[in-house]
Amino acid sequence: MLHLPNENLLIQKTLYEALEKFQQKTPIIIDRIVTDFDFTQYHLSTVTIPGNEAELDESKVLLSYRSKAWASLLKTADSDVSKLSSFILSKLNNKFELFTTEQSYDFTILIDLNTLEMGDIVQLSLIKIHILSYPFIQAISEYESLNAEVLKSEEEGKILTSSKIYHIENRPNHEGFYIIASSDRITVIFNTKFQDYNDQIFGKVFIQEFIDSRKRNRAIQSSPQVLFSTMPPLEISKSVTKTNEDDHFITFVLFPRHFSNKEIEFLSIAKILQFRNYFHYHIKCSKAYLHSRMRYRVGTFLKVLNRAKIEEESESGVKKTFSGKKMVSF
Amino acid sequence: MSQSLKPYLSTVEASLEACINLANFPSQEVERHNRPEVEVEVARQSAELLYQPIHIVRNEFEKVLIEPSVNSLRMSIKIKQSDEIEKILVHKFTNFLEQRSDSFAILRRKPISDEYSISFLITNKHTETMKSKELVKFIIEFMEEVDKEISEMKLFLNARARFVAEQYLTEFIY
Repeated sequence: MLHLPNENLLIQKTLYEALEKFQQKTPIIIDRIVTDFDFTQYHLSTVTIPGNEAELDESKVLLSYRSKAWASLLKTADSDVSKLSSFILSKLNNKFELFTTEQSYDFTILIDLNTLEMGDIVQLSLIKIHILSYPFIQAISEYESLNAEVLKSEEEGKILTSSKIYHIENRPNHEGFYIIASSDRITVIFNTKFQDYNDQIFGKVFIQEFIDSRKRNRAIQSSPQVLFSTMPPLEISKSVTKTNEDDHFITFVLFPRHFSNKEIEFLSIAKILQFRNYFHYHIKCSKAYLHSRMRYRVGTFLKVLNRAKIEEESESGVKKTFSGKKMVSF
Repeated sequence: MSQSLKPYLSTVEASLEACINLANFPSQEVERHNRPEVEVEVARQSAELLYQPIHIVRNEFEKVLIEPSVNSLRMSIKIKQSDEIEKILVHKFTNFLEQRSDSFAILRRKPISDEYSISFLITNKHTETMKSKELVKFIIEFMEEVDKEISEMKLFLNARARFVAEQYLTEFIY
């Protein structure tokens, strides 16, 4: 599997199942915890009828979401939950309602199986991307206003950069990403850490290829520019308070063509959000391959060594008695 | 095989063949003990049982140390590691082999020092149950293959990284 899928297959499957059974008039009760990358967790459960906890309303399903990114997402939304949740609901085409947030979860929506369609299920399985796209959409609208300002000023080559830095921390150990809007681009900077020294070296090989392949391969020259440093890049240096030795900063420069229309915008955001997982996933994959390769090599070395062993007297020509004694002819 | 590798390997082969002349020799110190004399701790070693160690050096990255004795022979190899990736790959690979040293019989669980990547210990028991000529052949083949394997793995890693990066960035072409 080369690319990681954007959607969460388990959510999709659970909802398909629920919808299908519901339409066949044999509704099922679901209570499932589904996990995703970056320690994201979902809880899909059938709703209890209000006022009567023992009875379940099989036509309605709750989808709760929990992630480490929520706190920093709220910060980018000026700590206004309603702003953020109305954004998410609009991303889901306003087909679902907000529900009282389930305990220990960040966000809960109510799904009515009577009105659920196939297309909605796909959107629901993309909910993680929809939620995390909030700062991107903010940055893009900021880019648009900055760009308009530059056009108005009619000054040649003027570049405005927003002073606002969107910082999302979606993993423990301060791993996350930063977004900064300018009048001609949007910069996304990932802060990633490696499990150990080996991963770090492997990671460097991979990052180097990300940087070089764009220069080498003409076909992908319109892809975002990739930069790498172990020091916080200047754009975010003022918001990175403390740095660790194992901090690695990978910068993606998104150009206007990467968010020229809604569809492309969504694809770009989804892809960028997958970067960290894609990157680390392929490091693990190559390690696994090297491991199996070494295993095979050990086998061939053993074969060579076994050739050295002095074989037992050749079996042919030696007759054995029933009890195992050898008949030797003099 | 590159031109400079051949003389290196043939020297190692000749030296090994000269040293692998091992005989059963019970310990002089402890009764009814029979131990590989090269492995005896330094304070208890007796000079008459140890022969002159042989260093064979190809360059700063590759060298071999052969320590012969009356009943055993220890050989340590430093495998070429010119950059960080090769260092990791060599470390991984030798670790991998050492963990399976039970089935390799002549492989030492650890190299004699950090200077070397991997060590072999051949005793008279091994030469009694295995053909010494084939043992030498095995070590030479090992040295040859290990270099090849490490550089292949490194190439693979680079090729994979390139492919992965290109595939990721291709997704941004609309």
